[in-house]
Amino acid sequence: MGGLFDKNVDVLSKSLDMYLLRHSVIADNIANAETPFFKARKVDFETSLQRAIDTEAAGMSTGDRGIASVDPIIFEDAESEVGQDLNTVDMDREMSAMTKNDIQYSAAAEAISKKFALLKYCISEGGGGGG
Amino acid sequence: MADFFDSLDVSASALSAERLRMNTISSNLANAQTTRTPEGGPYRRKDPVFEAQPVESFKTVLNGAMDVPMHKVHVVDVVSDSGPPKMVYNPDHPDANPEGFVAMPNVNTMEEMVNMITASRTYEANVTAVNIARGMMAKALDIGRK
Amino acid sequence: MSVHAIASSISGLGNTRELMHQSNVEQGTEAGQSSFSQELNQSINKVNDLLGASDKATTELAVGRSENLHEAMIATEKAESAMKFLVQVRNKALDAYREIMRMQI
Repeated sequence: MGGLFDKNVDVLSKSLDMYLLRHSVIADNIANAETPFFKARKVDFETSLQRAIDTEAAGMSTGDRGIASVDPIIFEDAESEVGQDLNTVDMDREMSAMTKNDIQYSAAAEAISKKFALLKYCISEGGGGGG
Repeated sequence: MADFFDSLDVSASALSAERLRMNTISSNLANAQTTRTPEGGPYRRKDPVFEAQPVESFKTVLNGAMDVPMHKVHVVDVVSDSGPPKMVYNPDHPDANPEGFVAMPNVNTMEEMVNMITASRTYEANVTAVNIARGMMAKALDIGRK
Repeated sequence: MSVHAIASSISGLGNTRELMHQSNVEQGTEAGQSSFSQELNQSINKVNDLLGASDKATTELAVGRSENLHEAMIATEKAESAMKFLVQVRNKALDAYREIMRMQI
């Protein structure tokens, strides 16, 4: 582990960005649940994030900035049901997705927080035991 | 990066739109029996028309590749239903036509009630979206607070 | 000198004479009895493993491979507690060492 901050912080920080984006897209879907012709969208970043992690773990160069440059894919769900006004937003699905995303965001934020707290502890307490 | 505050704007626009929809529904229900209007003829039920309006924010312009447009709900117009009025036989009514039929508003109470429930549910869903967004931001502020 | 002796001496508010005796024993480590440095090394490795497990668990959550929220949180908490305990043990050991070094022979 070179440096003070390990790769795990990068991964968690990236996932926080992505959860934020996912919330924006879900909120967008919910807001436009009654708008004619609106197509619901989804965010997928897990696959590219996993790939970036595996590439780095294998020691291969990821060319660009590695995990920090993982891009999300925003797409329209092809399997969603189409309503009468050609709107594809499924309110129940969006609500549960939003709740799940909220929990995942909290978990990642908590994990990062604990990491920094532990680091701070070691920095301050490690100097103790003198005298 | 991803525009958090734009997301709040989007949810807020939906709240306004649904509130407007509620107003038109209330107007429809209140005027279900109105046979006289300033424009002449019975009351015609009104419907809002929604349109998705992409959010043009400074950030989306800057980010280029990360341009993920969100859509605010924009009420284009409140249109009157152009369908034919309901003809009810009531010869004693002051507005009855020579055949004894009164032109009643084309308001279907059941339909309006269902629309009202949908509007209410959508409104609550958007309120939840705002609350969850706020919770996430609060959680972010807590990083490193321990 | 085993970790248990350290732990008991900590709770006994540092019986330094016992410490000194046992540090003499460490000079000629008997077969089958691990020295303090070995124990410490093992503990450090264990804490490292726990930290690695916690990182792995949170990564699995982030990439969506696992839905086990509680597992990740427990792993993180374990690693944190183990690390904090290790730091305290290190502090106490350092205390004991300095105490010994201060003794006039």
